[in-house]
Amino acid sequence: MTLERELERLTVAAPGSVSGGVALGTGLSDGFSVFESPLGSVVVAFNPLGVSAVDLFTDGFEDRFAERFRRQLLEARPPRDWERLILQALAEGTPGSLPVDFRSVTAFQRQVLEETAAIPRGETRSYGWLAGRTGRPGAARAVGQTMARNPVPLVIPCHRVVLSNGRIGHYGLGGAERKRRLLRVEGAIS
Amino acid sequence: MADNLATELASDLDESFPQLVARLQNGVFSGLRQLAGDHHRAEDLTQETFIRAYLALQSYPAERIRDMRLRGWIWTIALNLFRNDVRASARRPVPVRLEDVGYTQSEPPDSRAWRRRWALLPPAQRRAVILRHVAGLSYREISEATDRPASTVRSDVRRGLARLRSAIEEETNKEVGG
Repeated sequence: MTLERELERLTVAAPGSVSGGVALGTGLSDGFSVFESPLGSVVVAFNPLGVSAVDLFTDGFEDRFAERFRRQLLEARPPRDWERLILQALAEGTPGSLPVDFRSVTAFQRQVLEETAAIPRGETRSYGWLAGRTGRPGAARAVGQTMARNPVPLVIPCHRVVLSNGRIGHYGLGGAERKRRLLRVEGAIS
Repeated sequence: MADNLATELASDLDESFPQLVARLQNGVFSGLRQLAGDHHRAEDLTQETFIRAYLALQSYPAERIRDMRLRGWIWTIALNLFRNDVRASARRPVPVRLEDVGYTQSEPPDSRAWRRRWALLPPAQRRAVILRHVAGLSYREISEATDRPASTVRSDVRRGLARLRSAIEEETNKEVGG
């Protein structure tokens, strides 16, 4: 065998981990891990900017993610210090110092979600109250739409936002019954 | 020569970037594996090379990307990262190689022989031979990646190959001589 031929044999396939690592490192794909939460198993997606989505760990979560965010999901472990922050955020219902990727929402929606993040556990607020906090008191309806678009339910506690007439209102992560269950666990309703 | 992939990257970076990775990753990984002499370092460096490439491309205007010659350019990044890594590892304690303590599962049997052969070559020759014959670059691409004249690269490759031939011959003589 010639030397050149022998050198060519040193050309090998890159390990499969390379393309996945590049996809995650560039943010072209998001990683996801499954965590336990007060609502059972949930999928938490993340990328270099922060946590990008929380969804119920049910069939089709990858398709739902791709449809909304236009990126693929790869199973991966989050950065080690985020793992603890994610568990804490899910347990307490507040992001704390966990970074959130807000690219999927508008500037107004982001402002609403950041106000929502500050609602204490065990309490609720109305859509109208939130609208007032953002300086647009008439925007209760837009606030309601924002709650429906919350990319990271549980981490940003949109379940603590209810109708001003005391009714529970919608909940994107599995319906009103789950919202009621969460508020009961938190001691906000009996 | 216009490169279709460069044109596609210029018009939709996010859509086409995985193709760039798919096309170049084997060459980049294989070249870095011989340069670094270590599978895992090569894996990390390859990953980092493409992440840096993506970040760079994000900041370039489309007309610049369209005219790029991608393979030579990727190797500019890979060689910079490799040099930085060599400098950083000079300050780290030397890890015990698994195969030195009798664990060879993770590496093909001839990689030790090649590490010894590469060590016999001056760095410029080693790099030129690896880029030409393992990573599959043209002389022009090597010249771009290493910022040396193509004529110098050619002579580096020629001398490097000659040195390797005599090294392999010496190995064979030793084996025959017992």
